[in-house]
Amino acid sequence: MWTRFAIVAVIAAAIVFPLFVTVNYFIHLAILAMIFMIVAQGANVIQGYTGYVSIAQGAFMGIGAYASALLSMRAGFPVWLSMLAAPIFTAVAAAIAGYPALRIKGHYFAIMTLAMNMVVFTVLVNWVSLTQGEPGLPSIPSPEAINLGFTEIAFEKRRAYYYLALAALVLVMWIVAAVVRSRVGRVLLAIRQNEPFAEAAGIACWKYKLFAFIFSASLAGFGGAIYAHYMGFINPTPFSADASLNAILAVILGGSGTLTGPLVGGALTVILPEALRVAEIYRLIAYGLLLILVVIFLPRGLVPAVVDGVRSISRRRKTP
Amino acid sequence: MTSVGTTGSRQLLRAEGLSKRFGGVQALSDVSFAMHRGQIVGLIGPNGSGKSTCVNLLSGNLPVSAGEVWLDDELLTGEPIDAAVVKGLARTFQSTQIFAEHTALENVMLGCHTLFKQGPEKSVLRTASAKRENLELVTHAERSLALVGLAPRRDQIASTLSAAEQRLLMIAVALATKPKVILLDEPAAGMVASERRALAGIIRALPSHGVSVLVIEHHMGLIMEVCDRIVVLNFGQKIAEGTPAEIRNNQAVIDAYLGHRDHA
Ligand SMILES: Nc1ncnc2c1ncn2[C@@H]1O[C@H](COP(=O)(O)OP(=O)(O)OP(=O)(O)O)[C@@H](O)[C@H]1O
Ligand SMILES: [Mg+2]
Repeated sequence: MWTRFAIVAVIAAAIVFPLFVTVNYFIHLAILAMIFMIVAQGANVIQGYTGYVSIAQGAFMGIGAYASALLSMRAGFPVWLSMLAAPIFTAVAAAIAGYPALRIKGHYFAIMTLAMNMVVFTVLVNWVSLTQGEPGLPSIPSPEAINLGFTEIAFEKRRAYYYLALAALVLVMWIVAAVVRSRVGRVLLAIRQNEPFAEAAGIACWKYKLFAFIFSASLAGFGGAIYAHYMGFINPTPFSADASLNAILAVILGGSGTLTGPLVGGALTVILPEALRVAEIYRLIAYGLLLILVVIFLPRGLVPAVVDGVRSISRRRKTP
Repeated sequence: MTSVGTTGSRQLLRAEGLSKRFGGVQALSDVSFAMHRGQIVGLIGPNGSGKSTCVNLLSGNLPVSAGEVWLDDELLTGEPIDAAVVKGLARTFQSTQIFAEHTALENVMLGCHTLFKQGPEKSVLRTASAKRENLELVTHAERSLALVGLAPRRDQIASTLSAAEQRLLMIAVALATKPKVILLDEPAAGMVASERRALAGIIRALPSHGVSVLVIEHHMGLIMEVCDRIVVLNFGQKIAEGTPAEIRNNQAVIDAYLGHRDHA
């Protein structure tokens, strides 16, 4: 009941947000934040729910971004179709890469995914005939305008794209919520808690781990596609292992294994470094310090900490 | 000798020449035995004699160095653990294993995993058939909880259960897989006398639910009380097999235990 109310309130606030914000730059940040929330939610599926840290979200975001951009520019796909094809393309790439990686248990998986990210990055830089390498791909088209009869929505406009990103995020949240609340989600949590016991319960864990990995990658790919058609230009830089580490950070900051954690964490990892710009050269130091403080004092992340706090206050009220 | 059994003396689980070598350690050498449907078989031996290794080979947790495992005329050797569970062999562990953050019922529902006929995608889409099946299996899971006496703990988070209850929960999860045979590795570890007595009652009732039992235990009292047959290991080799009375008077067994100052 309360959760439903909160969901409606948050979506409503997100819908009216651009009407009150006149500074374009804030809308820009909000769009980037929502894209990164999608990527972080993907990281949450494999890291927060399944307990396997993947350091490849950046690469999958890049695969989705380039796939969508190139499909629309070179293969003549409508942009809308390219954006939907991108997560499928990314999923196939993740399936091929994940099959051998997930046969390995424990920490080697993280190292394998880091290597994957490096390989993908190198390919993006060096396969110049396809990606145009370091200088990047310019003039990536925006999604085709939607004609509503009385008016036309053109996605070159920042505000229109804001709503596109918001719709994508809501869709992603809805799908992820359905998965983690299903039997599949319970199995993923079981793998995180005790994989050997899950196997002894008859669960073919590798299938579920592979699913979680593919699913998480396809979300990153989806986020990447939305990014590409928003920026209109991409090069390999934002898809390095740095982006993967940021996604991991977003999950830890917000609260891993919670649905709302990656929203909070994703927003913070995009907005905090910007907000700290006032501190100029001390910016990165301040950012690092903040992260360390959160990890030390709120090890489960911000969302669980706040939820616990609210609960204990309301309990204190009830028992005078 | 045999207790309750549906098809009398048919062989259910058969180990043939099981061997396991860890580097230089021969943990198990050429161990063969068979258990019949409806039996409770004890596997005993001094510390480090290879009992857990034997269970790990039977369940597929460890690959064999040599030998074969047969369950109801199906070869299990080389199959992954989850495949053995589907074929009807479940196990518990010497150290307590549970899903600590889940409730007791959710733990046991994970044991029902192989019983779901509706695909997992139906559960994501919340189809009517998936919901119905889930409800049916909740009933089955509750029965498994009741079998080990944990029905009153249904909605309690597993990590908040007592140590003995957690060990019983581990058995309930294994029972939920609807096994033909369950392998219990020291189920009474860490239990006090009264809890051990309750456990003996639970184990003795299992054959009447169609579950045969292979139980490892250090407490001779419990073993002698519940088992139809006993297999004795020492230094990775089978040194005796027989009824509790035969084992109690077997000179090789007495020597093995006296040699280890580890008798009950
Ligand atoms: N994974 C392993 N790697 C190396 N050696 C092992 C391994 N597991 C068991 N061993 C060795 O194999 C032998 C048999 O061990 P096992 O655990 O099967 O004995 P056990 O009869 O179950 O003993 P306990 O009563 O202490 O549980 C021991 O010498 C042990 O050190
Ligand atoms: Mg042992």
